[in-house]
Amino acid sequence: MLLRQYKGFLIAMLANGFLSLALTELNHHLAGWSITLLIPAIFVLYAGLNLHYLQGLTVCLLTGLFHDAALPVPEGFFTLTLPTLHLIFHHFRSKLHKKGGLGTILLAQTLNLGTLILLHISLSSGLTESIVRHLPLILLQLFLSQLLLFLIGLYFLDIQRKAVTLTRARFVEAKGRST
Amino acid sequence: MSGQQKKRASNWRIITLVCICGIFFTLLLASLAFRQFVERHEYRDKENRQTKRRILQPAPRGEIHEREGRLLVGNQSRHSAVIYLDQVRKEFRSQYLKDVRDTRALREQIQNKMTYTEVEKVLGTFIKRKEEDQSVTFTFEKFLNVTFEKGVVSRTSVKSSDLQWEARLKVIRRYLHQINQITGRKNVVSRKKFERHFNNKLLLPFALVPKLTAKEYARLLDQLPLDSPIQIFTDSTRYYPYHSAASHSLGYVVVEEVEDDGGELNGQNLKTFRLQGKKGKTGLELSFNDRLDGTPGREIWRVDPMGFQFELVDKHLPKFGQSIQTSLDIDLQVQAEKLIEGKKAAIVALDVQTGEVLVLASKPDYNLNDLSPFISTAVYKKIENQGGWLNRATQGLYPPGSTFKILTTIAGIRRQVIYDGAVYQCEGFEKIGERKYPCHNPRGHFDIKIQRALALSCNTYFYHFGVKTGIDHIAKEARRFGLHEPTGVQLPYETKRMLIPDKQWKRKRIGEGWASGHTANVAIGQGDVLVTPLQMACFTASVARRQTRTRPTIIRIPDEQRNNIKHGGDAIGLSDPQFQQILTGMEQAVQFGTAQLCKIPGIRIAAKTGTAQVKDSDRKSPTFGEKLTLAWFIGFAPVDNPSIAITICVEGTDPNDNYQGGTTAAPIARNLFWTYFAKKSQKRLTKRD
Amino acid sequence: MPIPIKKALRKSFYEFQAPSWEALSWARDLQNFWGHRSESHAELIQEGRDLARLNGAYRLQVMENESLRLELKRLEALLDLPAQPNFRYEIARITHRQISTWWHEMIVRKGREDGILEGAGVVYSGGIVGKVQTVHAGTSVIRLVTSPSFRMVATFQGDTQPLYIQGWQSASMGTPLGRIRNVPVSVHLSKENPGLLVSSSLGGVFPSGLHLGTVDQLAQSSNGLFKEGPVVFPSDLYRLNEVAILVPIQMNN
Repeated sequence: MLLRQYKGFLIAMLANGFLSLALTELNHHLAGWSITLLIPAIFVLYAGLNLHYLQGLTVCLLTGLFHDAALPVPEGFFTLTLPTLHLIFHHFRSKLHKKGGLGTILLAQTLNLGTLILLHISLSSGLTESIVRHLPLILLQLFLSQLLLFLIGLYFLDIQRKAVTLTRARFVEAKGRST
Repeated sequence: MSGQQKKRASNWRIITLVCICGIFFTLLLASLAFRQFVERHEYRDKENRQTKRRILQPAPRGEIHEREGRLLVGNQSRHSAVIYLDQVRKEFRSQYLKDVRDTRALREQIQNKMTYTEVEKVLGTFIKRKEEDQSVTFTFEKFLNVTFEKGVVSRTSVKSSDLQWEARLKVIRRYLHQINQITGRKNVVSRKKFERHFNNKLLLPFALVPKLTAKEYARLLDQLPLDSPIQIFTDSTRYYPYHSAASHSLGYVVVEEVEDDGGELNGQNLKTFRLQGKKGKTGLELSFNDRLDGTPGREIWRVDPMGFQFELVDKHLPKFGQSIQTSLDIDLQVQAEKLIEGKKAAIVALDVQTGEVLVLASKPDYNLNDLSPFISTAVYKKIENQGGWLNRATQGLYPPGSTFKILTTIAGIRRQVIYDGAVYQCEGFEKIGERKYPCHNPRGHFDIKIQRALALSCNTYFYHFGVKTGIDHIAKEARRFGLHEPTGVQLPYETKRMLIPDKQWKRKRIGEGWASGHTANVAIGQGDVLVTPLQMACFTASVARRQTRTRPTIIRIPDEQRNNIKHGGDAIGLSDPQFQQILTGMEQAVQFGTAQLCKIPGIRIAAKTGTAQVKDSDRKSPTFGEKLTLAWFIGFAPVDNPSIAITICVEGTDPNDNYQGGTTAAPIARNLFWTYFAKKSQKRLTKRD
Repeated sequence: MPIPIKKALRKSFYEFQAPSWEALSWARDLQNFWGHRSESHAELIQEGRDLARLNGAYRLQVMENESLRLELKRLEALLDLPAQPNFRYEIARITHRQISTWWHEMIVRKGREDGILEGAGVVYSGGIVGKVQTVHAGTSVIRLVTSPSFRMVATFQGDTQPLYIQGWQSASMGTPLGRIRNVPVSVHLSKENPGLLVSSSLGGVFPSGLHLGTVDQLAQSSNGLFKEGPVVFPSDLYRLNEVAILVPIQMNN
């Protein structure tokens, strides 16, 4: 009963965890070119569009905490930004298709870009020289991050939705047997 | 009064009131406008003075190089571990609040009417005790004062300023402990030192460990986090790779607060914090202080009410001082100093054509590295006792002895008293008036002409012809060669007390008339004649060039200017055969005369030695009042195209010292000539390769 | 939020996900293992031959090092010098690298349980990698030599004057850079005559002589006292899979 109630939450957490790992592995290989890709908006897509508000918020909060622990970002950056992104997605969820769609992509892209720009601004205080020297590499990282979000965003959302559907069938099946 | 009248009267009152108010408001506005627009600058200045502070940082001094570009004086970094107090402000505050809480907790445990024993149980033993008329106040830990009257507690108090200082010190000591742990030191910081810095130099870094060794510096760099309030502060000290070489010429610096360079630096009206800089004290460091000194760096900070840095308003980096290239040849200089090590002596070597000083050595001297970054009293006294502070080449005054005979000869020839055919019969003495003046060879030199007289340094010859020439002419000739005045070399404190005596001087100074005997003494460079070794070197170079003046310079002359040097004197005023007589005499002195110990096969050297006697005038010396000898040498080479002129003066330090120009100074000159020409031919060979 | 709570939160979330990174790293190793399994016998024989040659060369070097070590020990005893600090090399696989404009870190599969200490030096066959920044139970975070918050003492090869290196954010893709500071003004370097930087044992973190990088241009520093210039570190620094952590051996051990 409890599992049924929280299956969306659990699936979102698991999916976020796996995606984090995959991103870690991708960044590990890209490190040779001094590139790190970040797509925070993807972690709130499912939670923002499909989950109950509180469950979604919890998913985003926990994912943010995991991200903050794993990355050398300013203290609490993702813990604050992911719930905020969730809030925005949740606010627009009635106008967006739950399976995705152009509107979702556009919003995710905008929010992702906004979050990354905010992150770069907050990190730039540690620079000992003008940021202009680093702009090309930063812009490249931004572009690649956005591209990655564009390429996998909807698939990731779809996988989570499908996983929920599959588990629902199982729950129904299990329930049927017991009665 | 009717209602209308009343109303009218009231209107008037209102109008009057409005007018008065209007006038006041206008005045108020006018005064506001006056302050805002007219007195704006004054208020801006006041605001600046109250809220801005200026920090002046010293610029690294320029370097000093020798003629071939080798470094003689450079800068060496000195590292210290410092703490920037504005970075630990929060820690000061939190430590203070914690201490206040602790003290308050302790204070609450002390109640009135408690006895000392009860108080001691809570607070431990007291730190300070102060007795007044009817009460005793004990100061315990955490600066808690407990006053006892009639044996019981009457009052408790806390001196918050003490608590605040202690809190600050705790933070500073914590960081110092961190440094001590990394470096293995046991440094401590006193409250007095910290208070003085905090009150007077709040904006400057507080030095926790002033001089770090290379290992400590490395350890701190490796082990301290980059964002730690402890920073490694680097400034420079003077560094002398050749230690004591040319110490008198190079000079040293003293630590002094950075000065404004007048006008260029903004914010001169602001309260200024100055870091320690350097200023030339002697030698080239002093003469060229303005050039070597760079432009100080400047930071203007806006400060908060406590005086801590708040915002950097303006910053100008310090500019490196200009470097200078001296004319000194360090190989020759080091060799010269080695040759007179342990003696009281001076050596000057000049480039004959340019007047460039190749060597300017004076012993005893001092190791310049011992004077950097500051001179300790022990070092100062040691140098003073040795007589090392005196630059004997430019400040030492000596009778030139027989080397002066060259000048007497020139004067005699020009007066036509001495000429090629003039033969003198030296019998070992010359009778002038009633007194016999001896020659250094008691058996005499028999028939002697000017060449041999110079070569063998026959005193009687010069007594005779000196007297014939007359003091007026000898003195005039000496003045023509500039022996009566400083040479003007770019070194500070060159003596001005050199002396060429004449009749007027004698009458004015001693109040006596001039006698022929005095002329005889002057003719052989004795009597009251006093010159410096540098003057004699200039005289030698002038003679070598057949001129009367040599303007010495210790700064290297650029190649393009070397052929166009004007020394400012006249031609020597001798015909070729007349000059040849002197030249032959000086060359023969080397071949078989008094200077033969400086003979080098293959190199034609013209020289004259001298041995003078002088009374020790140093009151501190154990030989005060006794007669000491001076060994002189002047010479130049090669004879046909002179390039180097050398002057050596060695002081005897004991009456038993049998110093003579020929045996003491000439061998030194030989070694120097040899070094000079060996280096020159080596260079030529390298060039050819 | 109070700092201790923030720290505890971050640490616990870190430790929670650290095993997954380790698992990822193991999986990568396994993948490599199976990748090598598929190689042909001919390839393996060739690799084995190359390795044997390399081993031979290393064996010689080990012998040479041993004799030098003994000589050093003899001289130290003769001059009554304190012994050089000794280190134990703890080999650690890298779980993942985090390198971008902003951060220069690697996470390794060795932590507190393996005796790793914060601030310990990290090296690899090509020279210095960085220092251990944070130690967790089974993992450690290494701050790379290219990180702007990294600083260490170095010397030019054959010289003893201590200089210091600070990391420098690279503006180009994959070029590890740093800056050398406090270089005496008398040092002149050019592309034809570059300077090789090595570690110095003075700082107490690294043994001396480990390769750091090269410098081929120097300019006057802002205070005019020194020169400074960019250091180029070996290009494989950002592609490492394994490093060695220097764990100091206590003198009484």
